[in-house]
Amino acid sequence: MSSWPVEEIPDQDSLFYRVSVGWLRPDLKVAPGIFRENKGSISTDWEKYSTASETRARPGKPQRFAILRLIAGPVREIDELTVSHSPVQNVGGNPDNRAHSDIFGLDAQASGTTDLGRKEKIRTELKQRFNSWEIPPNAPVE
Amino acid sequence: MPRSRLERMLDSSLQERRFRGSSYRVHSPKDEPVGFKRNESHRAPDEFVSLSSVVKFPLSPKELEWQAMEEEIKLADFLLSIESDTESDDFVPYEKETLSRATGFLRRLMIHAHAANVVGMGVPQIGPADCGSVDLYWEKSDRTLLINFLPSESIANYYGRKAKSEISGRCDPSEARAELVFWLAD
Repeated sequence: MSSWPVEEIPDQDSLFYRVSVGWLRPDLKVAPGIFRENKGSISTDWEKYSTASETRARPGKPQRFAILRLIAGPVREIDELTVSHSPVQNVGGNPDNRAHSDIFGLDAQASGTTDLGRKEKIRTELKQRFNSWEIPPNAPVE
Repeated sequence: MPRSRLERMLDSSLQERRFRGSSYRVHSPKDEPVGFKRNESHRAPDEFVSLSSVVKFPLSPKELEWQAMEEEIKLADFLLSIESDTESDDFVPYEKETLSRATGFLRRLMIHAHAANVVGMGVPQIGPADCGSVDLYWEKSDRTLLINFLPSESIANYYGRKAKSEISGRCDPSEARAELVFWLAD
């Protein structure tokens, strides 16, 4: 049970998204393929409780990760995406993380033929809005 | 009428000057032009005329586009060596079949475009996406197109956008899609 309250993330606030270097092409540029869910959401850290470097180092081996800065408002402007603060505390096997925040909606099931290409549309829009690294791949570890 | 000695000399000189500027040469110690100042009987049995150095013409726009595509396809082999990472709990390895479906589709698209004399479709980035799927992503100044090829399924989903126009849907990667070609290149 988390004693940290769930807060509303303002539209202007940043979310740090950790990207495995293994998801990248050899040119190490941001591509639509880096936007992917893990356990039902795109997992990020809210800047209110985490720096980009802390997000990078959280799972260990920070050199294996790059960080992308997403802004909550432009994420919410994309159809069907929502942003929720979801702090992690006392969850078996997971380190506590007050900054943890979810982006929901990328992998929602298509409800009909008009939804075909929906996920590709969302990934394209994410890529076009957020395409420069906060911490680039292979950046020195702080 | 027999040609005069002077005419024959002038003609020979002209031809020799033409060959002197050419890279079409016999490999010989003197590197003499083919057919000049040299008898066939003097050529060693293992001597050959090199064709590799024949003057190369500039590649056409179609050939350049095709070449760029083949280079991207070759580069995409890196997908097959991507290993599991700590960030995905449900990592699915990238399979050769999935990559082949994507690259085969791309080649068919390009063939279709060139057969219709459409040049400028451009070469997409081939990259990894989630669950072992493969992306083809075109990003041009005024338009984008993203096609995702799912593993173990003969379908691909796509979405494209340009000014005042969007396309999306699902297609069979074993077919060329004329509408995508023209949408990319119009």
